[in-house]
Amino acid sequence: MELVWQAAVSGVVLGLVYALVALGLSLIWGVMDVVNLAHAEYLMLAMYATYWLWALGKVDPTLAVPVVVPVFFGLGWLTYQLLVRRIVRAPLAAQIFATFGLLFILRYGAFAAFGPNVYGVWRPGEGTVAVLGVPVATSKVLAAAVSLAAFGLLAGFLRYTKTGKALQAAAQNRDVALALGIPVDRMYALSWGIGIASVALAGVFLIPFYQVSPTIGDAFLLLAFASVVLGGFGRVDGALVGGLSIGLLENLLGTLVSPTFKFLFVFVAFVAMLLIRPEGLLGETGR
Amino acid sequence: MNALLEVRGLHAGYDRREVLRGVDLCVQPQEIVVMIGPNGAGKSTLLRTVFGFLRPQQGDVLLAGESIAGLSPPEVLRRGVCYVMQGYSILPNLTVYDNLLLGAYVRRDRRVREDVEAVLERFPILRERRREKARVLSGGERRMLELARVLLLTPKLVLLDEPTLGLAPAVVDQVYGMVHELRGQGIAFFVVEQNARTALRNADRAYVLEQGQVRFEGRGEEILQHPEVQRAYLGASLNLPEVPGGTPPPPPPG
Amino acid sequence: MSRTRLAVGLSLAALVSVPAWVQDSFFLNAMIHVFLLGAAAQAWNLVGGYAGQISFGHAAFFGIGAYSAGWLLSRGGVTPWVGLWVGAAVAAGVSLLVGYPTFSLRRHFFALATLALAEIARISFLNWEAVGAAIGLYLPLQYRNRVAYLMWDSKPPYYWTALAVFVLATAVVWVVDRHRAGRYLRAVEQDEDAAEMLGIPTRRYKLYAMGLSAALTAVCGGVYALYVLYIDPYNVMASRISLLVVVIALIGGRGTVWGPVLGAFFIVLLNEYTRAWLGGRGAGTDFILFGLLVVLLSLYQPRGLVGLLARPLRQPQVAVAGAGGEGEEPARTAPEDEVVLRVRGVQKSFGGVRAVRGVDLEVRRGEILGLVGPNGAGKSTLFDCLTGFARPDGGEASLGGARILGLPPHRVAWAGLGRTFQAIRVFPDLSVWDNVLCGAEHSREGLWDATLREAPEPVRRRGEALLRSFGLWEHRHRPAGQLSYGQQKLLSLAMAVLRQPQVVLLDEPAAGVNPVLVEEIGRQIRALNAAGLTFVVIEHNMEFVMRTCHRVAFMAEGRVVTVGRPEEVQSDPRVLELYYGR
Repeated sequence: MELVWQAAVSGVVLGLVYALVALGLSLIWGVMDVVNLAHAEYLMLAMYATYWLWALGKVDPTLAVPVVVPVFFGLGWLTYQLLVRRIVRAPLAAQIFATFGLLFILRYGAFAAFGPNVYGVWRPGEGTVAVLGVPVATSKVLAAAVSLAAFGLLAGFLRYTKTGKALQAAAQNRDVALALGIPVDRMYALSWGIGIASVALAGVFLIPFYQVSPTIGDAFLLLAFASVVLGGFGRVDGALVGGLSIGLLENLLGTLVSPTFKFLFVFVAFVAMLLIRPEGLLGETGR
Repeated sequence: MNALLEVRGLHAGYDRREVLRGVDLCVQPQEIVVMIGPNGAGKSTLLRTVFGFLRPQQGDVLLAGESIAGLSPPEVLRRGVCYVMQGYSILPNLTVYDNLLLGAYVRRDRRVREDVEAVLERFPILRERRREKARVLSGGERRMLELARVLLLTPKLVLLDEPTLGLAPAVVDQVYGMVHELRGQGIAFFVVEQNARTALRNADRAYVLEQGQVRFEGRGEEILQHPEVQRAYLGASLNLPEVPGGTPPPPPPG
Repeated sequence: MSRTRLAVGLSLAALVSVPAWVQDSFFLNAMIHVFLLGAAAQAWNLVGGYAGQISFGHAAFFGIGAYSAGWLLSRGGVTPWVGLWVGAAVAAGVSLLVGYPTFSLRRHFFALATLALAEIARISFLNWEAVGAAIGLYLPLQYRNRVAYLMWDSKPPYYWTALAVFVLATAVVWVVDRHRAGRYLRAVEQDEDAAEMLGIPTRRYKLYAMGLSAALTAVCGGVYALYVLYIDPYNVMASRISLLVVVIALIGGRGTVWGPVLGAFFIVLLNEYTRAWLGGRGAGTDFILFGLLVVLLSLYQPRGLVGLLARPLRQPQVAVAGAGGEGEEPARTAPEDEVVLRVRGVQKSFGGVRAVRGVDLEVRRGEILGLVGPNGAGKSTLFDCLTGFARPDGGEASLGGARILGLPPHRVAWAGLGRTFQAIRVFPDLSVWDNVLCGAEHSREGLWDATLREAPEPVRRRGEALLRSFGLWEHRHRPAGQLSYGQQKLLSLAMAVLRQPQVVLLDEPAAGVNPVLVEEIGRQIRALNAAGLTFVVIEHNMEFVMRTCHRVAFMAEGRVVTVGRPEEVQSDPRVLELYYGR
């Protein structure tokens, strides 16, 4: 039983991290119905950025936030202006392939720039924090806490600020939003900025306990999609619920059944969800 | 000409599909003008083109003498035109309060929240439901919300697309009651209606649109007896007595 | 045509002769990769290009092929000539199992599902002891230099084996492309609903493409295994294989025969040589270029290199066609008394809105029945219910005695119901000729037949006759997307009537076109009716209805209010009331 409780708690911690990775994906998908296949590549790049700041500039990852996050906000905004705005109304195949090409550019750009090696940030003397009686590595707890804060901030922004409400309006009905004078195009760019900034934030807090190489995007993309689909895309809380579900599923089944197959279970659940209830746990049918 | 809105020789459509084939009309300040006609005539397309959702293929749209053809919807909004769309024009997953607040999105002054409260005072139903999501409102309540939203701006012209579709007669009267009240405050209305009788009862002037062209212009319910109007709705004209009042359309431009 | 064949023949001869005058091992190795990856890209092309089902998980089939042939050889000494077939069969079986439930997903979801499923396969093989798990399988070397085992000491025989696979894959795609199956697949890719309504069983064709694709990919994987002599999940099942295959097909031009061929040469050679020249860090730089090309192509030129090289003839849009039709008006036949389409009590609600509230309708054989009424009366919804695009909440309908309510659209089409849509649905990237032939009778059409043979003579003759009478014959080779709006309307009418359905439902056939074309369309409908077709026509253009229809049914608020001759309905006070409102 002790083992199960440990697995559950660390599953929640892990799940919160997944949720933060998935947040941007869900936001962009919900606002403009664009599925960003290159989403996890931004995570990878942010991890590299944080790593180099630490390796070359001796900047602790936590302090890298004010540098990395705004830069990646700009990167997201730029991606929208240069590429995405041309495919928002394009046929689905064009959208899929455009973001697929972007994935290639980013991934192999990293390959060319950084080589295939694996890098990690190493903090000597890192201890553990007791979470509900279970010892968990400090950096993981920090990542989970940041995730919760980010979700809270975003929810607050969307719910209580004028721009946040305008963003919701643009997501719900583009024509009505335009008729109210809301600059929908700028709202789309904003959601890309926020989406990429949030995945960059995840990257900053991920590198202390997860190593980076150019191909980690593979695994994280699937995990992010699994979170979004399970929770219900287009909703901020959907990414949260989905991420937690994935984290719990992975850890619990991994502990109870078999650790080697823990991702297998996650992906099977993902496919099952796609087939049975594609709108996710929180989603409403008929978007 | 000091018409508030003027449409000249307008041709518009979707992709290569022609819908409007040379439309001429005008709306004077503080006038309630209605456009009736059968389905597929192009009534909604006309409103969408005026408001900027569609770019005209030919012809022009003038607001107080200035051409607005090709401007984007937010730009047309800023020039004093509001558009209440067919179906619904509210944001279903935002609260009633937020819907109103966003109605004033283009305003930069500090009195917005005061004005929203003032509007809620005038509409007790909306005030009661201010924290509920707009999608729980009934059809009539949604129309109320849309018209209430208009109050937050001071438009010169409001475009209404089928405001009474699916509403009970009592609610229809309420809606037009509001329209008259707002007109008294200086706002002109251009209304597209399927319910011809109701529209004609409430309008200063009416246009009949059929197959993308204006077939008739007149006022009052009597125009429904005019053979031209009957032909527009039903095809080949019937042998009915001529009725005075109302003009057939001008001959097509040479 | 024969110039292409000559070019192909010469290129092939040249390729075959290469090992005779080039001994460079690196080059031969690169070419072997070109052929095998190109073949795999061709296989992907069938399902991702022709059928439009974008898969990011084809490495799974590649791996299944490699493991099947490899395992059978190393554990049982089974010759690859059998092993490759086994791999193909297993891969095909898995693909059908996986495809059946997932094809109903929207395209985004389908692509994601393939990603996940490929990962599931990879993880499974990584931990499967029987096939070596992470350690992998080594192929026994004692079988080398025997044709029976397709394993050799030197490169040239491998070169020819790989070339043979490449030729095989391209030949398969070529055969599919040239005949009906290719036409139907491309139709499904461009507009699935329209294809369904013409009677094309879309799911069946997608599964067909999937199975064929998986089998071919497996063969590539098997031959690859025989070449590298070592199999492990990283080598034969990694996502990079899936992605590479997609990139090759995309950049070369998906949905074309030569696209993957061009793509393979371009990408694989570039990749092999940049890796050799730049090594280490440089590896991957070419992929940045490929990514950029994919992005640019997706924005501007979806047919890839093939699209760029073919330089499609940008003919100016032809003005509205006067008819090729003969001027005289055929005599109006009197409709018979027999009821061919019987609708009883059909109901449909959306959310809280009752769009159709119990519609009763009888359509008589040989008549043109108009369906008119104000906005929101439920006319199009009724059509959707009858044709299987909406599931009615109640009621029944029978066509010629057979019940049709609740059937999927292609089965409704097989029962003898045809339909056009309010928004024109032709297949824009197919030629006019291909478009009209999509309207052929599909109920007894076998997949094998569709792959190997063109449409039967009578069907082609009828297609030609229809195109001629609609003034479209001289445009038959142009992509339908280049036709004017009015011409597309006529084409969609031709497609709907080619197989002579018992009843044809037309949704606003005269809308959005100028009066001259309205006349033309009316004439064509009357001519087809004189030849025996029954029509139900939704229209708002009342003059058109008066001139064309034998009877008119007036619908309002989800019900049929009255049915009768046009003049009767026109002067019915209820009709006026409902049009004018209260």
